[in-house]
Amino acid sequence: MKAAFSALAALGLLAALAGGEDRLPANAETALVAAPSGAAPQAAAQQPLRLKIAVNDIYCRKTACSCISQIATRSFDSLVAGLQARHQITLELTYFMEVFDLQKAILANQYDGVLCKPWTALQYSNKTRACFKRVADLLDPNDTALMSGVFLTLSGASVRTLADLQGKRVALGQADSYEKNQAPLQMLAAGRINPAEMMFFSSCGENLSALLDGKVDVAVVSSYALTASCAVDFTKPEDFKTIAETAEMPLTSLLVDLNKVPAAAAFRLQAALLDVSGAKAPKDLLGKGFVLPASWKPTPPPVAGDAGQAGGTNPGESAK
Amino acid sequence: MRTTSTVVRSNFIVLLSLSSTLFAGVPAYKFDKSFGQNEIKAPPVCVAMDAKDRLHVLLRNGTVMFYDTDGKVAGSFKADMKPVPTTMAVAEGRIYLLGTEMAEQTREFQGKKVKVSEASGVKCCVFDAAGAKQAEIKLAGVKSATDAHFVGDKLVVADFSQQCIAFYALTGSEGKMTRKISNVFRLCCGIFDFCPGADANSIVVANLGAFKVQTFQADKKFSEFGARGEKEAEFQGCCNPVNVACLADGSIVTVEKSPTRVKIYAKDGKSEKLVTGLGELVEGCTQIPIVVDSKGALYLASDQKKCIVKCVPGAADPAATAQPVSPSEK
Repeated sequence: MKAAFSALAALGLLAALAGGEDRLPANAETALVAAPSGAAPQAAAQQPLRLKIAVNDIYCRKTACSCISQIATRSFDSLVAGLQARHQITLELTYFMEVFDLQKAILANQYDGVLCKPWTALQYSNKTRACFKRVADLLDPNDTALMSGVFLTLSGASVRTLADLQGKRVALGQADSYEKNQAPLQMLAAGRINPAEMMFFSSCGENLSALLDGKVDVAVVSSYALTASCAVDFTKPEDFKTIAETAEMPLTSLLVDLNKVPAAAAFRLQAALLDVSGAKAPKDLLGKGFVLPASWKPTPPPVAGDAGQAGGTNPGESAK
Repeated sequence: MRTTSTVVRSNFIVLLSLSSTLFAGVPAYKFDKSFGQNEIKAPPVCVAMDAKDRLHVLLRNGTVMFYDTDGKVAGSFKADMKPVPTTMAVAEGRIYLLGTEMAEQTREFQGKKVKVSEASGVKCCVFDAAGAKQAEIKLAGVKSATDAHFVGDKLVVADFSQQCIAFYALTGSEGKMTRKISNVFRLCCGIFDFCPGADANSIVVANLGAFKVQTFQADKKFSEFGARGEKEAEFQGCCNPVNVACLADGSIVTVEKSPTRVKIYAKDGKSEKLVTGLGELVEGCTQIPIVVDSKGALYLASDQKKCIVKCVPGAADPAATAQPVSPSEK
């Protein structure tokens, strides 16, 4: 009876979260939060829970580039062991070094959840039946859960503000990178700023390279690009100055597909992740582990034909 | 307790044989299982080809191995030099081995002073095929040697530490730097590879942090192609391509790691063909040195699998490519 009640509650919550549909509505809250009316649905705590999770994490030694091996030393082994021992939750982790491979797996609906930059999964909310919700955000080694896109120019350049971008050239990311594409494009639109040329690349390295080569006046990169990407090997933070920054968004989240994972199980996972975090966080997580997901309502994915849409434009293609 | 952990490195693509007809001008290649007999006992770090198509393989322990044109080991010697050589160039029967000298430096890292070992110079020793040392050459102006080739009569050295390529005129025991290309390379993971171009005095560089292949002529960037992306024509991973080679007709061979992909691009980079059947030659951010012979065969070195993989022109056999072959399992 209790189990049946929980299932009903979970179904109700699921409908509330997803607006009665199996896909995220536009500008939906991406964080898994309890319904306003009350507590999260309870599941039988001792029932074993097994989830297949795909992983692509900036700081994980199994998925990061070796050029940041000094800081990308994170391991999830202790976390997985702790969840299993204390909460009977088994996370079957599959590591993806190549984010394109992860994207294909998401589109193929192969996993119960993902641990990655949330937009990597959420960008497909209109293309898959999956209903991803962020169960928890993972703190970085500085115990920060958020990141942003930053507008960089060369340290000696005359460009000082976002308004100075009017008529200038800018390198942005492609549509699979929210902080380098949608968020900065929204800022430019809001400020009625029209660059003379916009180039859309698939990596921070290419954006910085275009800036260093004089092909653009400003490059938008992820806020961690100068400390936790391949760019650490060929640039220094002091070579650049920041002229603007997008709104913050989650850096790394554990998301589950609510079409595969009952909401009650998702809340149980959330509680377990928080339980093994903070002071109890294993050292190999590099920080204090997981925190409740911050509210984040990204703008829906662009429709076909929009600039920089993944798969819709060629890398480095210009929009004038 | 049992946990499952799988590392997905790549979905190795088996091309339809039909694709060989789609890219006129770009040759098809196939994996040649017959080369070598698992005789390499230490990780190979560099490959070079002499004018008689004899493959030279430098191992991490300083051993140089020679293969004849039938793919049989014809000889070897262990270079008596310190530092241990990391790269090699061959010309006129001589083998130029280059090693990077290291020096301890104090650096500040996250607010703490730490002692680190950094590249501080390059030592070049010249050997004959019997392993007899012929000369020692000073190469002033470079701090590390990650790759070296003869381009015309110049010894050209790639220096990752200073992210530059330096050209040396050699006279006796002196190497005089005649020119240098710098401030244009976006390198990472300690990888910096280039090759002589098809045109005289040109070089082709794997600018991996920028996801580009760039051709330089007379110090100026002459042409470039490449971008990160998920299409076959694009480069994947955190930084690629890691290595390049040029075929006689100007086609450019690119090598990517994680996942391993070898592609033959037309000279202008506008069409390409994937070499199938190789499997994963390395895991993680590791280079895969490559050299070509006069017949257009490709030789790839995997330090992790301690093997040389040969690919020869010709349409791939679908049966051979259906199951990716691990070179170590030959």
